[in-house]
Amino acid sequence: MSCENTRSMIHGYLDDELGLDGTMAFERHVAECPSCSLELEDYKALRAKMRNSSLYYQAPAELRVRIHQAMGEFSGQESKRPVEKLSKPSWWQQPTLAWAFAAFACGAVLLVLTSSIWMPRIGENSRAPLLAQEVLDSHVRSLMADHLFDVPSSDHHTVKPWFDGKLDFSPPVPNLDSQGFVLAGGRLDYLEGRPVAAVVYRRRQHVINLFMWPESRETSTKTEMHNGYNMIHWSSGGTEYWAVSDLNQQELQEFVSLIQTQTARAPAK
Amino acid sequence: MDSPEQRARFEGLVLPHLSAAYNLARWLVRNPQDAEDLVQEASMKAFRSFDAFRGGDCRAWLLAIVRNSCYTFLGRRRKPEEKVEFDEQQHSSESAAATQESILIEEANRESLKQALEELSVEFREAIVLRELEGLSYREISDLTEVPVGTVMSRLSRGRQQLRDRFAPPLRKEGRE
Repeated sequence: MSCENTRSMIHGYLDDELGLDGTMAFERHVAECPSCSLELEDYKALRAKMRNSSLYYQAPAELRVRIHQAMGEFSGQESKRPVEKLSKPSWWQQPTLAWAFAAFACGAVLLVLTSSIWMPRIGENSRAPLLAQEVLDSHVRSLMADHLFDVPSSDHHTVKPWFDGKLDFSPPVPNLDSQGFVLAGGRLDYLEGRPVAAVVYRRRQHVINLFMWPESRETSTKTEMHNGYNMIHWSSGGTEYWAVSDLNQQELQEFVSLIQTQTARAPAK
Repeated sequence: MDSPEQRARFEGLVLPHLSAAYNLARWLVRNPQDAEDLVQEASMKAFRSFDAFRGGDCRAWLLAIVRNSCYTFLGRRRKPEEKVEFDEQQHSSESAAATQESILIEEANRESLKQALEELSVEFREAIVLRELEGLSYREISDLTEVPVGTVMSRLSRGRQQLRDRFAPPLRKEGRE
Protein backbone atom coordinates (compact mmCIF):
# COMPACT_ATOMS: atom_id res chain seq x y z
CA MET A 1 0.00 0.00 0.00
CA SER A 2 1.25 3.45 -0.91
CA CYS A 3 1.55 6.36 1.51
CA GLU A 4 -1.07 8.24 -0.47
CA ASN A 5 -3.54 5.37 -0.09
CA THR A 6 -2.74 5.04 3.57
CA ARG A 7 -3.34 8.73 4.22
CA SER A 8 -6.74 8.53 2.58
CA MET A 9 -7.63 5.61 4.83
CA ILE A 10 -6.58 7.12 8.14
CA HIS A 11 -10.08 8.36 8.98
CA GLY A 12 -11.74 5.14 7.96
CA TYR A 13 -9.24 3.35 10.20
CA LEU A 14 -9.85 5.65 13.17
CA ASP A 15 -13.60 5.29 12.72
CA ASP A 16 -13.44 1.52 12.43
CA GLU A 17 -14.93 1.59 8.96
CA LEU A 18 -12.23 -0.24 6.96
CA GLY A 19 -13.27 -3.82 7.50
CA LEU A 20 -10.85 -6.58 8.45
CA ASP A 21 -8.78 -6.67 5.25
CA GLY A 22 -8.49 -2.89 5.02
CA THR A 23 -7.54 -2.61 8.67
CA MET A 24 -4.79 -5.21 8.35
CA ALA A 25 -3.36 -3.66 5.17
CA PHE A 26 -3.42 -0.25 6.82
CA GLU A 27 -1.69 -1.48 9.98
CA ARG A 28 1.00 -3.30 7.97
CA HIS A 29 1.89 -0.10 6.15
CA VAL A 30 1.87 2.10 9.25
CA ALA A 31 4.12 -0.32 11.10
CA GLU A 32 6.81 0.19 8.45
CA CYS A 33 6.29 3.86 7.58
CA PRO A 34 7.36 6.44 10.19
CA SER A 35 5.77 9.37 8.39
CA CYS A 36 2.34 7.73 8.05
CA SER A 37 2.67 6.56 11.62
CA LEU A 38 3.30 10.12 12.77
CA GLU A 39 0.29 11.31 10.80
CA LEU A 40 -1.86 8.68 12.48
CA GLU A 41 -0.54 9.72 15.90
CA ASP A 42 -1.61 13.31 15.18
CA TYR A 43 -5.16 12.27 14.51
CA LYS A 44 -5.23 9.96 17.49
CA ALA A 45 -4.07 12.86 19.66
CA LEU A 46 -6.72 15.10 18.15
CA ARG A 47 -9.38 12.54 18.95
CA ALA A 48 -8.11 12.11 22.51
CA LYS A 49 -8.16 15.86 22.89
CA MET A 50 -11.73 16.08 21.66
CA ARG A 51 -12.83 13.33 24.00
CA ASN A 52 -11.19 15.00 26.99
CA SER A 53 -12.60 18.41 26.26
CA SER A 54 -16.25 17.99 27.32
CA LEU A 55 -17.51 19.22 24.00
CA TYR A 56 -20.88 17.51 24.43
CA TYR A 57 -23.73 19.84 25.35
CA GLN A 58 -26.31 18.15 27.60
CA ALA A 59 -29.87 19.34 27.26
CA PRO A 60 -30.60 21.84 30.06
CA ALA A 61 -33.21 20.86 32.66
CA GLU A 62 -35.35 23.90 31.81
CA LEU A 63 -35.64 22.66 28.26
CA ARG A 64 -37.10 19.37 29.48
CA VAL A 65 -39.56 21.26 31.63
CA ARG A 66 -40.53 23.50 28.71
CA ILE A 67 -41.15 20.51 26.47
CA HIS A 68 -43.23 18.74 29.11
CA GLN A 69 -45.26 21.88 29.52
CA ALA A 70 -45.74 22.32 25.77
CA MET A 71 -46.80 18.68 25.43
CA GLY A 72 -49.33 19.13 28.21
CA GLU A 73 -50.77 22.19 26.50
CA PHE A 74 -50.94 20.38 23.21
CA SER A 75 -52.61 17.32 24.77
CA GLY A 76 -55.10 19.60 26.45
CA GLN A 77 -56.28 21.16 23.22
CA GLU A 78 -59.81 20.24 22.16
CA SER A 79 -59.34 20.27 18.42
CA LYS A 80 -56.38 18.37 17.16
CA ARG A 81 -54.24 19.99 14.55
CA PRO A 82 -53.64 17.88 11.46
CA VAL A 83 -50.48 15.83 11.72
CA GLU A 84 -47.70 17.94 10.37
CA LYS A 85 -45.92 16.54 7.37
CA LEU A 86 -42.19 16.50 7.78
CA SER A 87 -40.37 18.06 4.93
CA LYS A 88 -37.90 15.28 4.24
CA PRO A 89 -39.25 11.92 5.29
CA SER A 90 -37.67 9.91 2.49
CA TRP A 91 -34.73 8.29 4.21
CA TRP A 92 -36.57 6.47 6.95
CA GLN A 93 -39.63 5.68 4.90
CA GLN A 94 -37.62 3.85 2.27
CA PRO A 95 -34.97 2.05 4.24
CA THR A 96 -32.71 -0.54 2.76
CA LEU A 97 -33.22 -4.09 3.92
CA ALA A 98 -30.23 -3.96 6.24
CA TRP A 99 -31.26 -0.65 7.67
CA ALA A 100 -34.81 -1.88 8.17
CA PHE A 101 -33.50 -4.89 10.03
CA ALA A 102 -31.24 -2.78 12.23
CA ALA A 103 -34.08 -0.37 12.88
CA PHE A 104 -36.45 -3.19 13.70
CA ALA A 105 -33.96 -4.75 16.09
CA CYS A 106 -33.38 -1.41 17.77
CA GLY A 107 -37.10 -0.81 18.04
CA ALA A 108 -37.66 -4.24 19.50
CA VAL A 109 -34.99 -3.66 22.13
CA LEU A 110 -36.48 -0.29 23.00
CA LEU A 111 -39.94 -1.79 23.17
CA VAL A 112 -38.77 -4.49 25.54
CA LEU A 113 -36.91 -1.92 27.64
CA THR A 114 -39.79 0.48 27.84
CA SER A 115 -42.34 -2.21 28.52
CA SER A 116 -40.21 -3.44 31.37
CA ILE A 117 -40.17 0.11 32.73
CA TRP A 118 -43.83 0.77 32.20
CA MET A 119 -45.37 -2.61 32.86
CA PRO A 120 -43.42 -4.09 35.72
CA ARG A 121 -46.34 -6.24 36.85
CA ILE A 122 -48.89 -6.65 34.13
CA GLY A 123 -52.24 -7.59 35.58
CA GLU A 124 -51.40 -6.85 39.14
CA ASN A 125 -51.37 -3.14 38.59
CA SER A 126 -52.58 -2.17 35.15
CA ARG A 127 -53.06 1.49 36.13
CA ALA A 128 -49.36 1.85 36.95
CA PRO A 129 -48.18 3.38 33.63
CA LEU A 130 -50.88 6.05 33.66
CA LEU A 131 -50.37 6.77 37.30
CA ALA A 132 -46.59 7.01 36.95
CA GLN A 133 -47.12 9.49 34.15
CA GLU A 134 -49.50 11.55 36.25
CA VAL A 135 -47.14 11.54 39.21
CA LEU A 136 -44.22 12.55 37.00
CA ASP A 137 -46.24 15.36 35.41
CA SER A 138 -47.12 16.67 38.84
CA HIS A 139 -43.49 16.56 39.88
CA VAL A 140 -42.35 18.43 36.77
CA ARG A 141 -45.15 20.98 37.10
CA SER A 142 -44.19 21.58 40.72
CA LEU A 143 -40.65 22.52 39.66
CA MET A 144 -41.91 25.37 37.54
CA ALA A 145 -42.11 28.75 39.19
CA ASP A 146 -44.59 29.17 42.04
CA HIS A 147 -45.98 25.66 41.91
CA LEU A 148 -43.81 23.99 44.50
CA PHE A 149 -45.61 24.88 47.73
CA ASP A 150 -48.91 25.99 49.07
CA VAL A 151 -47.32 26.08 52.50
CA PRO A 152 -43.58 26.76 52.48
CA SER A 153 -42.15 25.70 55.80
CA SER A 154 -39.35 23.62 57.17
CA ASP A 155 -41.35 22.90 60.32
CA HIS A 156 -43.38 19.71 60.20
CA HIS A 157 -45.61 21.08 62.97
CA THR A 158 -46.68 23.73 60.46
CA VAL A 159 -46.93 21.58 57.37
CA LYS A 160 -48.84 18.66 58.86
CA PRO A 161 -51.75 20.68 60.37
CA TRP A 162 -52.00 22.71 57.16
CA PHE A 163 -53.43 19.67 55.38
CA ASP A 164 -56.21 19.28 57.98
CA GLY A 165 -59.58 20.10 56.52
CA LYS A 166 -58.17 20.15 52.99
CA LEU A 167 -57.94 16.39 52.67
CA ASP A 168 -60.03 13.50 53.93
CA PHE A 169 -56.92 11.96 55.47
CA SER A 170 -53.98 13.17 57.48
CA PRO A 171 -50.67 12.63 55.70
CA PRO A 172 -47.56 11.83 57.74
CA VAL A 173 -44.87 14.53 57.55
CA PRO A 174 -41.72 12.98 59.01
CA ASN A 175 -38.87 15.18 60.14
CA LEU A 176 -35.68 14.03 58.38
CA ASP A 177 -33.53 17.12 58.93
CA SER A 178 -30.83 15.24 60.78
CA GLN A 179 -30.54 12.75 57.92
CA GLY A 180 -29.95 15.51 55.39
CA PHE A 181 -33.42 15.62 53.83
CA VAL A 182 -34.74 19.05 54.64
CA LEU A 183 -38.46 19.66 54.73
CA ALA A 184 -39.33 22.51 52.35
CA GLY A 185 -43.11 22.65 52.40
CA GLY A 186 -46.39 21.07 51.38
CA ARG A 187 -48.90 21.35 48.61
CA LEU A 188 -52.26 20.03 47.56
CA ASP A 189 -52.09 18.16 44.30
CA TYR A 190 -54.52 16.22 42.19
CA LEU A 191 -53.92 12.66 40.98
CA GLU A 192 -56.23 9.95 39.69
CA GLY A 193 -59.16 12.29 40.06
CA ARG A 194 -58.66 12.98 43.75
CA PRO A 195 -56.81 15.50 45.88
CA VAL A 196 -53.55 14.20 47.31
CA ALA A 197 -50.89 15.50 49.65
CA ALA A 198 -47.49 16.46 48.25
CA VAL A 199 -44.76 17.02 50.79
CA VAL A 200 -41.57 18.56 49.45
CA TYR A 201 -38.09 17.78 50.73
CA ARG A 202 -34.74 19.00 49.53
CA ARG A 203 -31.42 17.23 49.31
CA ARG A 204 -28.70 19.67 48.21
CA GLN A 205 -30.12 21.22 45.01
CA HIS A 206 -32.53 18.35 44.39
CA VAL A 207 -36.24 18.51 45.05
CA ILE A 208 -38.09 15.42 46.24
CA ASN A 209 -41.86 15.32 45.95
CA LEU A 210 -43.51 12.77 48.23
CA PHE A 211 -47.11 12.19 47.09
CA MET A 212 -49.52 10.49 49.49
CA TRP A 213 -53.13 9.39 49.41
CA PRO A 214 -55.26 6.68 51.06
CA GLU A 215 -54.96 3.21 49.56
CA SER A 216 -56.22 0.12 51.29
CA ARG A 217 -54.16 -2.40 49.32
CA GLU A 218 -50.61 -3.08 50.46
CA THR A 219 -48.00 -3.16 47.69
CA SER A 220 -44.30 -3.74 47.88
CA THR A 221 -41.72 -1.08 47.05
CA LYS A 222 -41.08 -0.58 43.35
CA THR A 223 -38.48 1.55 41.66
CA GLU A 224 -38.87 3.11 38.25
CA MET A 225 -36.68 5.38 36.24
CA HIS A 226 -38.42 7.60 33.80
CA ASN A 227 -37.07 10.39 31.66
CA GLY A 228 -34.21 11.09 34.01
CA TYR A 229 -36.34 11.01 37.14
CA ASN A 230 -36.30 8.30 39.75
CA MET A 231 -39.62 7.19 41.17
CA ILE A 232 -40.13 4.88 44.14
CA HIS A 233 -43.63 3.87 45.21
CA TRP A 234 -45.27 1.56 47.72
CA SER A 235 -48.33 1.39 49.89
CA SER A 236 -48.59 0.43 53.50
CA GLY A 237 -50.64 1.33 56.57
CA GLY A 238 -53.54 2.52 54.38
CA THR A 239 -51.48 5.04 52.42
CA GLU A 240 -49.94 4.98 48.97
CA TYR A 241 -46.62 6.78 48.64
CA TRP A 242 -44.79 8.01 45.53
CA ALA A 243 -41.39 9.61 45.91
CA VAL A 244 -40.13 11.39 42.77
CA SER A 245 -36.88 13.23 42.22
CA ASP A 246 -33.95 13.80 39.94
CA LEU A 247 -31.82 12.73 42.90
CA ASN A 248 -29.80 9.58 42.25
CA GLN A 249 -31.53 6.31 42.91
CA GLN A 250 -29.37 5.34 45.86
CA GLU A 251 -30.10 8.49 47.84
CA LEU A 252 -33.77 8.43 46.93
CA GLN A 253 -33.84 4.85 48.18
CA GLU A 254 -32.26 6.05 51.40
CA PHE A 255 -34.96 8.72 51.70
CA VAL A 256 -37.68 6.11 51.13
CA SER A 257 -36.22 3.79 53.77
CA LEU A 258 -36.29 6.65 56.29
CA ILE A 259 -39.90 7.49 55.43
CA GLN A 260 -40.85 3.83 55.70
CA THR A 261 -39.23 3.50 59.12
CA GLN A 262 -40.86 6.65 60.44
CA THR A 263 -44.32 5.94 59.07
CA ALA A 264 -44.22 2.37 60.37
CA ARG A 265 -43.56 3.81 63.81
CA ALA A 266 -46.39 6.33 63.57
CA PRO A 267 -48.92 5.10 61.03
CA ALA A 268 -51.14 7.61 59.26
CA LYS A 269 -54.58 8.10 60.66
CA MET B 1 -51.94 11.55 19.68
CA ASP B 2 -53.10 12.96 22.96
CA SER B 3 -53.77 9.71 24.77
CA PRO B 4 -51.61 9.31 27.87
CA GLU B 5 -50.29 5.99 26.50
CA GLN B 6 -49.05 7.67 23.34
CA ARG B 7 -47.51 10.43 25.36
CA ALA B 8 -45.81 7.95 27.65
CA ARG B 9 -44.54 6.07 24.61
CA PHE B 10 -43.18 9.26 23.14
CA GLU B 11 -41.50 10.18 26.40
CA GLY B 12 -40.03 6.72 26.76
CA LEU B 13 -38.78 6.36 23.20
CA VAL B 14 -37.94 9.84 21.99
CA LEU B 15 -37.17 12.11 24.94
CA PRO B 16 -34.17 10.05 26.11
CA HIS B 17 -32.49 11.46 22.99
CA LEU B 18 -33.09 15.06 23.98
CA SER B 19 -29.43 15.66 24.79
CA ALA B 20 -28.40 14.25 21.41
CA ALA B 21 -30.87 16.66 19.82
CA TYR B 22 -29.67 19.60 21.87
CA ASN B 23 -26.00 18.84 21.28
CA LEU B 24 -26.51 18.73 17.51
CA ALA B 25 -28.58 21.93 17.50
CA ARG B 26 -26.12 23.70 19.79
CA TRP B 27 -23.23 22.91 17.46
CA LEU B 28 -25.15 23.74 14.29
CA VAL B 29 -26.50 27.13 15.38
CA ARG B 30 -23.68 27.91 17.89
CA ASN B 31 -25.95 29.65 20.35
CA PRO B 32 -27.64 28.17 23.45
CA GLN B 33 -30.87 30.15 23.31
CA ASP B 34 -31.57 29.44 19.64
CA ALA B 35 -30.62 25.79 20.18
CA GLU B 36 -33.14 25.46 23.02
CA ASP B 37 -35.91 27.08 21.01
CA LEU B 38 -35.18 24.93 17.97
CA VAL B 39 -35.07 21.70 19.97
CA GLN B 40 -38.35 22.58 21.63
CA GLU B 41 -39.91 23.37 18.28
CA ALA B 42 -38.55 20.16 16.77
CA SER B 43 -39.66 18.05 19.75
CA MET B 44 -43.20 19.36 19.43
CA LYS B 45 -43.10 18.67 15.71
CA ALA B 46 -41.98 15.14 16.51
CA PHE B 47 -44.67 14.79 19.18
CA ARG B 48 -47.40 15.93 16.82
CA SER B 49 -46.27 13.60 14.06
CA PHE B 50 -45.46 10.68 16.34
CA ASP B 51 -48.46 8.81 14.87
CA ALA B 52 -46.63 8.82 11.56
CA PHE B 53 -43.46 7.35 13.09
CA ARG B 54 -43.24 3.76 11.87
CA GLY B 55 -40.77 2.60 14.47
CA GLY B 56 -37.03 2.23 14.03
CA ASP B 57 -34.20 4.39 15.20
CA CYS B 58 -35.80 7.06 17.38
CA ARG B 59 -32.59 8.99 17.81
CA ALA B 60 -32.07 9.26 14.05
CA TRP B 61 -35.70 10.26 13.61
CA LEU B 62 -35.48 13.02 16.20
CA LEU B 63 -32.08 14.19 14.93
CA ALA B 64 -33.45 14.45 11.38
CA ILE B 65 -36.27 16.70 12.56
CA VAL B 66 -33.94 18.83 14.68
CA ARG B 67 -31.53 19.11 11.81
CA ASN B 68 -34.26 20.29 9.43
CA SER B 69 -35.32 22.93 11.94
CA CYS B 70 -31.74 24.10 12.37
CA TYR B 71 -31.04 24.38 8.66
CA THR B 72 -34.30 26.21 8.10
CA PHE B 73 -33.29 28.59 10.88
CA LEU B 74 -29.77 29.02 9.51
CA GLY B 75 -31.15 29.57 6.01
CA ARG B 76 -33.39 32.34 7.29
CA ARG B 77 -30.55 34.01 9.10
CA ARG B 78 -27.62 33.19 6.91
CA LYS B 79 -25.69 36.13 5.57
CA PRO B 80 -24.37 35.97 2.01
CA GLU B 81 -20.73 35.53 2.99
CA GLU B 82 -21.52 32.53 5.17
CA LYS B 83 -23.05 30.83 2.16
CA VAL B 84 -19.77 30.90 0.26
CA GLU B 85 -18.24 27.48 -0.18
CA PHE B 86 -15.36 26.78 2.11
CA ASP B 87 -12.19 28.21 0.62
CA GLU B 88 -9.33 25.92 1.46
CA GLN B 89 -6.65 28.23 0.10
CA GLN B 90 -7.79 31.19 2.06
CA HIS B 91 -8.19 29.11 5.17
CA SER B 92 -4.82 27.44 4.98
CA SER B 93 -3.03 30.76 4.59
CA GLU B 94 -4.90 32.07 7.64
CA SER B 95 -4.02 29.08 9.72
CA ALA B 96 -0.41 29.20 8.49
CA ALA B 97 -0.18 32.78 9.72
CA ALA B 98 -1.71 31.79 13.03
CA THR B 99 0.56 28.80 13.44
CA GLN B 100 3.60 31.10 13.62
CA GLU B 101 2.45 32.25 16.97
CA SER B 102 3.73 30.24 19.83
CA ILE B 103 0.70 31.47 21.74
CA LEU B 104 -1.14 28.76 19.89
CA ILE B 105 0.48 26.18 22.11
CA GLU B 106 -1.05 27.70 25.18
CA GLU B 107 -4.36 28.06 23.43
CA ALA B 108 -4.65 24.38 22.84
CA ASN B 109 -7.18 23.96 25.57
CA ARG B 110 -10.84 23.22 25.61
CA GLU B 111 -11.96 26.71 24.69
CA SER B 112 -9.79 26.99 21.65
CA LEU B 113 -10.77 23.53 20.48
CA LYS B 114 -14.39 24.51 20.87
CA GLN B 115 -13.76 27.67 18.97
CA ALA B 116 -11.88 25.85 16.24
CA LEU B 117 -14.72 23.41 15.83
CA GLU B 118 -17.23 26.25 15.75
CA GLU B 119 -15.24 27.94 13.02
CA LEU B 120 -15.37 24.95 10.69
CA SER B 121 -17.91 25.16 7.89
CA VAL B 122 -21.26 23.81 8.99
CA GLU B 123 -21.00 20.61 6.89
CA PHE B 124 -17.60 19.67 8.34
CA ARG B 125 -18.67 20.63 11.85
CA GLU B 126 -21.82 18.56 11.57
CA ALA B 127 -19.96 15.48 10.36
CA ILE B 128 -17.44 15.73 13.19
CA VAL B 129 -20.08 16.31 15.87
CA LEU B 130 -22.15 13.34 14.68
CA ARG B 131 -19.10 11.09 14.46
CA GLU B 132 -16.97 12.14 17.44
CA LEU B 133 -19.61 13.28 19.93
CA GLU B 134 -22.66 11.27 18.93
CA GLY B 135 -20.75 8.17 17.80
CA LEU B 136 -22.75 7.63 14.59
CA SER B 137 -21.33 5.39 11.86
CA TYR B 138 -20.60 6.69 8.36
CA ARG B 139 -23.76 4.96 7.15
CA GLU B 140 -25.88 6.64 9.82
CA ILE B 141 -24.38 10.06 9.10
CA SER B 142 -24.96 9.50 5.41
CA ASP B 143 -28.63 8.65 5.98
CA LEU B 144 -29.15 11.59 8.30
CA THR B 145 -27.40 14.21 6.23
CA GLU B 146 -28.61 12.77 2.91
CA VAL B 147 -25.22 12.64 1.24
CA PRO B 148 -23.24 9.58 0.04
CA VAL B 149 -20.91 7.78 2.45
CA GLY B 150 -17.95 8.99 0.38
CA THR B 151 -18.95 12.59 1.05
CA VAL B 152 -19.25 11.87 4.76
CA MET B 153 -15.74 10.45 4.70
CA SER B 154 -14.29 13.43 2.87
CA ARG B 155 -16.05 15.93 5.14
CA LEU B 156 -14.66 14.17 8.19
CA SER B 157 -11.23 13.99 6.67
CA ARG B 158 -11.12 17.66 5.66
CA GLY B 159 -12.68 18.87 8.88
CA ARG B 160 -10.23 16.93 11.00
CA GLN B 161 -7.34 18.05 8.86
CA GLN B 162 -8.20 21.67 9.54
CA LEU B 163 -8.40 21.01 13.26
CA ARG B 164 -5.20 19.01 13.18
CA ASP B 165 -3.33 21.74 11.31
CA ARG B 166 -4.41 24.24 13.87
CA PHE B 167 -3.39 22.12 16.82
CA ALA B 168 -0.55 20.13 15.32
CA PRO B 169 2.36 21.51 17.37
CA PRO B 170 0.93 20.96 20.86
CA LEU B 171 -0.76 17.71 19.89
CA ARG B 172 2.39 16.24 18.50
CA LYS B 173 4.21 17.19 21.64
CA GLU B 174 1.57 15.57 23.84
CA GLY B 175 1.42 12.53 21.62
CA ARG B 176 5.13 11.88 22.03
CA GLU B 177 5.28 12.15 25.77
